[in-house]
Amino acid sequence: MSASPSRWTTSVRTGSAVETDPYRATSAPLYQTATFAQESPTEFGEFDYTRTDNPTRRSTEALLAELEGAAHALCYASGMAAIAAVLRLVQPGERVLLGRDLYGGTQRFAHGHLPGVQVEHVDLEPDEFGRRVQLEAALRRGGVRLVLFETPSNPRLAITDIAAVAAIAHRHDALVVVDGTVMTPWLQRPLDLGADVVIHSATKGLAGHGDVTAGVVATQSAELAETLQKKRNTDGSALAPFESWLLARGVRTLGVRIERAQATALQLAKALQRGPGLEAVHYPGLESHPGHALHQSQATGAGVLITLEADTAERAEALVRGARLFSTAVSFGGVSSSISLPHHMSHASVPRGAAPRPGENLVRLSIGLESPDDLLEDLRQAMSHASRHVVAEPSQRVAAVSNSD
Amino acid sequence: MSPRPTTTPPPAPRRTGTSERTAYVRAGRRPDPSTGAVVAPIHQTTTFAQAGLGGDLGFTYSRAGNPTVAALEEALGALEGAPPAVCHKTGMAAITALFLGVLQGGDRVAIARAVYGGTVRLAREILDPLGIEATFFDPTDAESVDAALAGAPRLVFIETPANPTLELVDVAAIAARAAGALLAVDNTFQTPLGLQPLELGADVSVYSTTKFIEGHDATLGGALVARDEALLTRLRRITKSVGSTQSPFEAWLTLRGLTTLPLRYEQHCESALVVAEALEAHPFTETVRHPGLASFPQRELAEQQHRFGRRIQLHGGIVTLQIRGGFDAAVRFLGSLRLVLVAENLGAPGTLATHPASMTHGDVPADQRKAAGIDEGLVRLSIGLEDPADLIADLCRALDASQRETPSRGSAKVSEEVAS
Repeated sequence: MSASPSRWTTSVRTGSAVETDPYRATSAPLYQTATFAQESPTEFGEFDYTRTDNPTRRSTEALLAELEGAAHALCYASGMAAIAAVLRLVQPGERVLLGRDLYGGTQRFAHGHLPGVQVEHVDLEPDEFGRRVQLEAALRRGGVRLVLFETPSNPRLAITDIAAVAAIAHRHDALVVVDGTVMTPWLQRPLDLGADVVIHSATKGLAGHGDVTAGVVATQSAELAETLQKKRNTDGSALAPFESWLLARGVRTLGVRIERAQATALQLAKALQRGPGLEAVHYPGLESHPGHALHQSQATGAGVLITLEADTAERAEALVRGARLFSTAVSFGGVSSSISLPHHMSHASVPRGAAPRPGENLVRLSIGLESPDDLLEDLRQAMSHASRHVVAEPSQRVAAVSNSD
Repeated sequence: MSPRPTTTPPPAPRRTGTSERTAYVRAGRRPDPSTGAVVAPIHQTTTFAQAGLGGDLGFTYSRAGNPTVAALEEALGALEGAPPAVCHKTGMAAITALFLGVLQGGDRVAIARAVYGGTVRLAREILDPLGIEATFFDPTDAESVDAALAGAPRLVFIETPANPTLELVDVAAIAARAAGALLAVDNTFQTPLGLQPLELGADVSVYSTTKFIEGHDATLGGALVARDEALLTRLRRITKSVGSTQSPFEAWLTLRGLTTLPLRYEQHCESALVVAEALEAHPFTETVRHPGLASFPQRELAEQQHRFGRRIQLHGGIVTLQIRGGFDAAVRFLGSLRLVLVAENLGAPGTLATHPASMTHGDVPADQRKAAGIDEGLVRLSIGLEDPADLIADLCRALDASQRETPSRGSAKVSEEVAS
């Protein structure tokens, strides 16, 4: 997939109010209103109540749909609200197939809040003969409503062939849902590759400033969009006007933020390959990454997440504790860099019976817009801190568990 | 405008005390520790940096908790002598979280027949596919209540005054009968000032804060207030899982609204009664309902159940009317209003008029609307803070216009789909 140059224009111009605003404001006004007065009691205007529709949210949705190459986009109160909305399309008696490496909150919802729905994790990677035996077998048993996966996955950054999985799933009339949060539509457009639905936690790269909790669902299907809109109106999970406005504001700089942060990420990933006590550096932009070529064929960049595999859990923990410039925080894709232990933080809520939690030795880095030199220096001092710490004293166990991100 | 002189207040409802009124201004609010700002900042942030692993300061990620939202939750809980409430993006998100938090497939929920249309739609579109059976009952009829409770529902959901019929439900009586079930009361119309459901034996108070609580027609929001910590934990957990947590900015605006709620709400109630009396005296109205009117069918229950403000007993800011000539006259009436706006929502500073059968309750099937007493000609007014004399002038002029046979501006075709 080649980069479409128009996305630079789209991201700064779509959803501008110049054509519709009475004052021709170049930044769309914020319609912080619950209600819209009607001219006539029997013929309603375009908007009546913000839970149903709101001009600010609608203009943000138009922007996101265009970036995604989708006919329809719907904004939700959070990424989880978006994921829950899509998973709730599955009826009792139907089945859901999930990838093996998946955000903890998605697993918690799928396993805990879909009564009567059979939820299974399957391998989506091909075997040495290029076949996806487990996926095919699971689909052949029938009743699969949708297949949901992330690529690159969070936190292991494994790559799944969207077009190949879509082709197989569509033979069995299953919907293909891609959680595109790690990439954002800037780097990857799953609908172009055959997916039916794309979900984003817009909290991450899309809004990008760490100040908005938001989710998006995008699709080409008018029918699906209508169903989702009706359900969203029923359960009141739509994104608020102010958050919609901030999200659109964040998207205006999506390109410059991502291009800069992923250039830093590649530089850091290369440097970290020689880090002490690190067994592997997972970053799809490295030629050593097993999914490198596949990722390059379906995305225009490798993104801002790097996952480090330390030799021991103790070293991983010490590395996180030793970082100073990187803040210890969940979430990713923001302007400032963060470091986390997925096992204890973003994936702590993975329930029993779901896919195995990421190992305690995994460290996830989200690269922001700081100077690459400063970030590298911080990681170097954290690694030397970890080397001293691991030798000097046994690790303290982590008591508190965070269910967030 | 002077309200009807109130008779000696009955002892049952507690008069709004000084400390309770102070809570509307102060609960959940403390000066910002780093700057001393008396209005705490809006924590418009997704994430909270942790001082190392497990070293968070109570907040990690705003979907799970945020200081601005927590301040609102603390305040709303304090108003009912309860721990912090659980706040949601919308009132419907709050009701969704309540239902999904306490009900599982195979469970039953008993819902009063006259409730907000969105709650009925939720039962049909979200609960039904999950195998959760909703039965609708008449909370004013002992036999209907007993029949609903005989099905051993896990949750009983009522609304008082009901939207839009203004039918009152005796909360204490239902609580006494529904001892084996959780009792939730949608208290959006009365607010904690006018009714304290938990004091009357309910387990959960439900609010659309969009209405009187925020009160400026500027936000959407919902809240669940409860005393039982285990129940609150379940409600928090489902809220986090489905991601319907209130946002910081909306929480901040709602907290601002709470500050003036006692002033606003009492004025809403006072003006509503004045307007209702004027409408009742108008020759073209057939029925006017407001729990403060002497003609109100459940007058005794209103006097016994509703609490007192500083000046008057608080019977709410909503008035309903049936206009002579039914649906067609209602359409002409709404089309002739100038000062009063035709809009969904209620509890706003400006007076709003709604046609429930096509707007707020348009998604409720016609036969169910009829059973709930929602006539096709019923008009709901949310009386705002304008001078009641101006409102009465506008409403009376529109009532006069409703009887003229000139065609209304819009066609009489009412869409079932637009209802929010």
